[in-house]
Amino acid sequence: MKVVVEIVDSKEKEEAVIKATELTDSVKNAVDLLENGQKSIPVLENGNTMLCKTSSIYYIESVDKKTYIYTKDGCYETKYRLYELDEMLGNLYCRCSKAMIINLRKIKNVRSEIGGRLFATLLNDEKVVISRSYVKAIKERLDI
Amino acid sequence: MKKIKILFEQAILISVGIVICMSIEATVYHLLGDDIALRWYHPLSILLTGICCAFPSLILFNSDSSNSSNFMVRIIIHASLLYVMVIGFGYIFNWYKEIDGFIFLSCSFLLVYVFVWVSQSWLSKKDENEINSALNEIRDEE
Repeated sequence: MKVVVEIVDSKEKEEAVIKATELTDSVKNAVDLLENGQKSIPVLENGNTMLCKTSSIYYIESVDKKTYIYTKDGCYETKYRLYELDEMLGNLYCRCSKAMIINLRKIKNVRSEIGGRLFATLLNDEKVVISRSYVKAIKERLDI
Repeated sequence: MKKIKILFEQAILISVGIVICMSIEATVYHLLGDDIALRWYHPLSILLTGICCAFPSLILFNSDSSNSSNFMVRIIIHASLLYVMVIGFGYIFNWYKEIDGFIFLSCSFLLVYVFVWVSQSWLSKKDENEINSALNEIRDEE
């Protein structure tokens, strides 16, 4: 794909236009990278609704039919179901188990364990399990 | 649907493992001047054992628990269950008649079981390296 970069004189004028014949995973990844998590989703904290930037999300977990969003040092409840967030969030957010979505940009590294499971260490040193059945999906999201 | 796929994959893997064991056993017996007769129910028994042995895998390894000790306990339970099932089916379907056949089947089971886990771990290690390389390109700065 031909890439044109034009330097502009102010932040307000910054924009990116992608012309593609179809919306492939690579194009979606490029959009996610350019948007840099500027999208926000409403979350609940002590009964009050506030906005949480998607770029600050580490992982999202569904527990007892409730959905919780985990950031570096916070945990918020959201009214969205996991499958809705799966569709809303970009290509760099991926299911790592039946009840969890992980932000791939927040993974420090992954380590394999006997039995084919992978453990992901996040940037805040928290560890989450990547189920065997979701490894393929993660590899696809990473264009492997 | 995903569970059925895992069940199907496991059943094929176990059936192939049994066929490998029986092939080795038949070859060894033949080389020692003794032959094993294949009965009509032997292929069916292999398929049936494969399907039955796939259920423990589906139940025990379909959880997202991160507890390592719990995982080791599940491996021990899994291996024991599969061993009992293979030996049981072997007895019912006459895969062995004498004690030497029993010992051969037990040793083959152990070898195939270890081989499957080692192969799976090797493939996971490959995934680990590939994913870590790809993550280096997109990781956020904290």
